[in-house]
Amino acid sequence: MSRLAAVGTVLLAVASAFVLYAVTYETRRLEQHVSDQARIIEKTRLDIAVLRAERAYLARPERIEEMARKIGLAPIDPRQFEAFPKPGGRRSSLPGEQRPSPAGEQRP
Amino acid sequence: MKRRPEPLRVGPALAARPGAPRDPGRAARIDLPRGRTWLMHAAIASVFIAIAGQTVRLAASGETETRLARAEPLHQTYIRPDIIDRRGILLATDVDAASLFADPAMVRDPDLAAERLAALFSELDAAELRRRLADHTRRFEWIKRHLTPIEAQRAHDLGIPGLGFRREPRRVYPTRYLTSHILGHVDVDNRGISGIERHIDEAGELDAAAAPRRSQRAPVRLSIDLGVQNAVAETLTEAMRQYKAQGASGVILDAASGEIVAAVSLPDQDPEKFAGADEDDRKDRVMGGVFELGSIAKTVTLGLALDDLGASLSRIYDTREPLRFGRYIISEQYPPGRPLTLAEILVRSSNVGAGLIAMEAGVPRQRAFLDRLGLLDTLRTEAGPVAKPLLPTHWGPLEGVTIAYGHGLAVAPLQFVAAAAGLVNGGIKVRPTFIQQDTVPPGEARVVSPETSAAIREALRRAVTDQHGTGRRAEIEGYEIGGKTGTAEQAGRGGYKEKTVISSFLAALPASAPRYVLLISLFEPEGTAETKGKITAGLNAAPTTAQLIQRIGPMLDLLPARIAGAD
Repeated sequence: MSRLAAVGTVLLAVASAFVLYAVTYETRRLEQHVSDQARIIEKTRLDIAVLRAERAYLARPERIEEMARKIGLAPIDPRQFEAFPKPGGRRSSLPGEQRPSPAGEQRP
Repeated sequence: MKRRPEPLRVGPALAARPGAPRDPGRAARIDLPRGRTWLMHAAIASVFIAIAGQTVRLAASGETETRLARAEPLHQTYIRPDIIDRRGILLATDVDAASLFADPAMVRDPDLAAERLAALFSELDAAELRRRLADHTRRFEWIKRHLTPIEAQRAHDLGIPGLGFRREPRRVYPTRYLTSHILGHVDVDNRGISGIERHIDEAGELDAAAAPRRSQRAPVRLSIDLGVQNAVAETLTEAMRQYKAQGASGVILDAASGEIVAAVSLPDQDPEKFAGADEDDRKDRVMGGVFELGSIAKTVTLGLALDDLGASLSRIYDTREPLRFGRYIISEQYPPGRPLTLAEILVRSSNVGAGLIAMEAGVPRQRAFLDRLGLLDTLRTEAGPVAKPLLPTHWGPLEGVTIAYGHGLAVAPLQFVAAAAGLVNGGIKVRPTFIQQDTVPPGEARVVSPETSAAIREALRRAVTDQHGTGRRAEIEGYEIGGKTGTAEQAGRGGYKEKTVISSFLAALPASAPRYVLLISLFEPEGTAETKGKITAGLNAAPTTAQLIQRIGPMLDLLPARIAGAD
């Protein structure tokens, strides 16, 4: 009886050793995975920071302004604002805009 | 452990134990080893329990890694939160950069190493580097901090043993010069040494650079609008060119909250635009210098008359005779030849009128009024202390009169614009701030009554719309601008120089209920064909302000009055 118990215990010990080994190995693997992921996240975050800085550098107003002027854009003129026209009302002209008057002549 | 079996000894006590088996010899043989075996079992079991307990403890604590401590001299660098403008545009951020260090004990050939490194990085001194690398007692020497990726690759390609890289946070400012005097600087370890950067340190938003190499903190949101800031810088650059000015400054303040929407000082640090400017010219004129701002101070004098003296805008002042103080005569630039109303004193910028108000109030009341507006204390913003106002050494009746029309008291433009905001916003003092406020902060204190504030706004508007108004060139269709010109002769050696002036324009926008207060100054403008050789503010600062407002109005969400009133 006690011999059986001893053999059983030994087998149990061996089995648990295997299980322990497997669990330890799996744990290490997962830990490695976690730290790899953390490193990738950190790296990505740093890359995002660089890209955001580059984007902000490329989008600096003096650069955008130069490019906008090259394609013919200009700052808004107060005259470009227009309220919804009242029925029968006339729209005032935009800067540089030439609209034929009702008589077909060019406005001064 | 090997144990030598001991010979069995049977003591009389054991043998005589009550209830012991009859055969004393056999009982002793079994009993004795059994006692010791139990002891052994107990010892072994307790060891295993201890081990098991420790295992459980380790498993529960989650401390799974043992970290290797680096045996290097501790060198602390810091990570900082980003800085963004009021619309979220990035103004400052940390990026990861490689820094090159050497372990001198591992450098085999210091001469060769120093020579090659000095060839790669021209700013390194070969002799000094050789001396540092040859010191084998040291284990850590910085060679160069914050390399660009290309530099790091080249240094790596040298293949010198004993060199290594460390990744460190490096502060970058994508918008470069546009906001540099506000943001300030950091040192090589990423600690703020001036401006907003220093404010971040003082606010405790700095973290040691450890596992996360980017700050997890929320970005610091400034009140600056980068688009407006750029528009101000561009307009002032153009004005400097047009009026041949040596410098220019512009500040835009939210009239209610005190948020600084734009603060520009030119020439700035941009070497492309201002190649000829020396360091002295590049100093910040908005906060770092004090100036006598000339007639724009009459706005304050008007406030004094309305609030402290109980005058109304229609009260008449006899300004026909110049004021005489011993050998000093204060006279009008454009004598109207008739008495003026209080409003006209501002509209026509009457020195005599302003002087009369100061004389009526007397020095103590004038001083108290200026103090109430915050024009006499040292002002502080998040970007650091503003240059201290320069008061006259002796403040007598003559000084009172000159201060009333803008000479004798020198303040930083930012400080003046804050005082002006208090005068026009309904009478509540504002504290200028560079940090965006979530809510309008409760007004610090009342400086003038709402009625006084309304009267000042009316007078400022008339200075732009009146046919004799000095600010009429600031008028643009649609925006209801109220403002005051100021042409201040600059104090130089041996008195005032007539030909070098600071011409300024103070504007409230829109005049009936100001949301913004602006102050534009041109330093030492010259007469041009356009201004018929004149250098007065009405001819240069006023039209510059008009151009600026035309451009920034839409950005500041101000609709032309014609449209705003159309609904």
